[in-house]
Amino acid sequence: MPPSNVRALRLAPERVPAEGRAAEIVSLADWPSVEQPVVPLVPKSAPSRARRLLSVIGHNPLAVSGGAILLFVALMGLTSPLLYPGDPLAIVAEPFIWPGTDAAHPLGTDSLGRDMLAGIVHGAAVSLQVGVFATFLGLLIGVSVGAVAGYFGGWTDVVLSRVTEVFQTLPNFVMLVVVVAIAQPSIATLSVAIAIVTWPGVARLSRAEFRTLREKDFVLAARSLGFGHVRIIVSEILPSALPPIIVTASVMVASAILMESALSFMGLGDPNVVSWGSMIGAGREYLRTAWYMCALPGFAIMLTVLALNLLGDALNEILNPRRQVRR
Amino acid sequence: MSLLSISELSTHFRLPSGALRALDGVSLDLEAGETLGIVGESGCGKSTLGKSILRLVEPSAGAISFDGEDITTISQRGLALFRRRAQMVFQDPFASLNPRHSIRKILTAPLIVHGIGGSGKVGKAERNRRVEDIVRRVGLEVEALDRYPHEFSGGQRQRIGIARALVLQPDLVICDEPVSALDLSIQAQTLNLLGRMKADLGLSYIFISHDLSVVRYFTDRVMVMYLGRVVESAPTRQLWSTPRHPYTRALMDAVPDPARRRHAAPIRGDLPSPQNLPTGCRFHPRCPLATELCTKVEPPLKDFGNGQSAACHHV
Repeated sequence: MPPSNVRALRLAPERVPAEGRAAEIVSLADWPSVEQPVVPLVPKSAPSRARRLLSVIGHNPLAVSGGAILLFVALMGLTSPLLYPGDPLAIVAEPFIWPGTDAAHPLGTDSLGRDMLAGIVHGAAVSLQVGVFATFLGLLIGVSVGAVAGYFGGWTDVVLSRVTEVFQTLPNFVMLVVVVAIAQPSIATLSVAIAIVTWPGVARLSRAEFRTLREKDFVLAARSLGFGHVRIIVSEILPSALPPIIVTASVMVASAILMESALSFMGLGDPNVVSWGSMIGAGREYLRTAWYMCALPGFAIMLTVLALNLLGDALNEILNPRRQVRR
Repeated sequence: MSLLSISELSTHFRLPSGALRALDGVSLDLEAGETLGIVGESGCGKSTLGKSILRLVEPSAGAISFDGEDITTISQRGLALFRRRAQMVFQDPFASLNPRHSIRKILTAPLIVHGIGGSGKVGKAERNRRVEDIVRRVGLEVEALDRYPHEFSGGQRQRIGIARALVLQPDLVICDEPVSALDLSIQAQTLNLLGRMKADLGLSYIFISHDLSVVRYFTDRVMVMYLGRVVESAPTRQLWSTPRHPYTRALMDAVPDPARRRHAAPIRGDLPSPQNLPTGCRFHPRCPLATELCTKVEPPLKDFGNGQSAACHHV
């Protein structure tokens, strides 16, 4: 007797259907015991993904505090033309007014008599612009290169990975100084220069993500359905690859702000705008007598970078799939 | 003419540690409306065979002819048309659906990619109609379309996977272990669904499985594979009544049977690595019938009549 293993499955009777099968299978389908016509769905209770994500962020103290500080800095930058309509580089009062001594200049004036608060408010706009543009550009280059390298693999990957490594081995700051020295320093060129030194990290990260994800069954399914490469990369893989990239992005904004400050401190920033870095640079000679000139913009930088890092940590906690209980 | 005809198909992977011959000279024919089962231990190349047929992995040698056209040398445009006609149902219903997409998007995207329904409002309405139709056919409510994969159970997800494979109205569906990740009760439902879809839509299946009872129930013809080669091929009923190859017999003996109290004699040893294949007959190190000849000469497929053939020197 052949092994009647069918019984183990509890779905077939003693007879085993064989020839002329198409017809028989239809009759199998209406066996009363096994087939339920429509599978009822679980009642829909969960709110949408976006709303759930927002509520998770709202309950995370790191995210809330980081977000609040950042919102404050962003508002400061956005409203700077209203708060201080004039040129923040204009001399408006006596030099060396200490913070808190003159109501007209709450944070005092610097060595040339320029309003410190005006500088900090306008500097917020510059810092955030550079931070956001540089990060956006860096992400654009990095994710594109990493996605193509990771998705296609083979020679494409070898070539792109070597190019990435070449950029990564160049000393960041030297590269930055060289780029800025060649091009005229402005917010745009600074952002490009910072993007050039930061994209390799993003490229490596997204390459790794794409390499893992391209082996997933849902990507195979997309290929078997005849999806084009661009559609697979952008619409199938990218949404799943994004969480770690978003986390990196928040830290990238912070490091872009730091790089811009460092360049401006050295006098390599845009001479026509005031930035936190250039304010520190201008105040460094008076560090002993008027330390507030360095300390105030320094504090602004520290606070902003801290906020971005808090936000990055919080996002990592929220978006990390291993810690993500409900998706 | 058969719907699908494969001759001497080989797929080798180049690994740092050497070549892996996942598939080595496999031939098969599939008639329209037929269900062909492919069985074997894990690592025998059955999944690679399925993926090679769909060109999800590139075959190294051999020819695949689908409806008279050679898929291995087809143009990009031809490949796009082929993709419409040949689809796959995957083993793991959790990994095979994109977690970020709604069911509607999962089912509509293939239609958009293949330009079905056309453009504009009319096209959108037509695609919605098709998507709703297929969702009902696989036994889900239309409300399911606006949910995400994580809101479904394994069996429901597999229904969605089946709907996705069928939404382009293919002729051939390769089912790669479509029920082995499901609970037993759900397995039966899913098999019945596949059976009904076949009858309704006139499909042909290649049904890959390691579960002999499922294969016996579901297929018309079975191919037994061992280490990248076909060792036996026969109509399902005939294979169970007179298995020829010692490997096939061992596989059947290994299925637990409550009517038979004695322990089944297991197949000796482990599956050798496909990177380091035995000489001669690949099964000889584990075969009870092995002789000197088997270690030296690889046996060809011998025809036993009635559509049965086996590759063994001693049967």
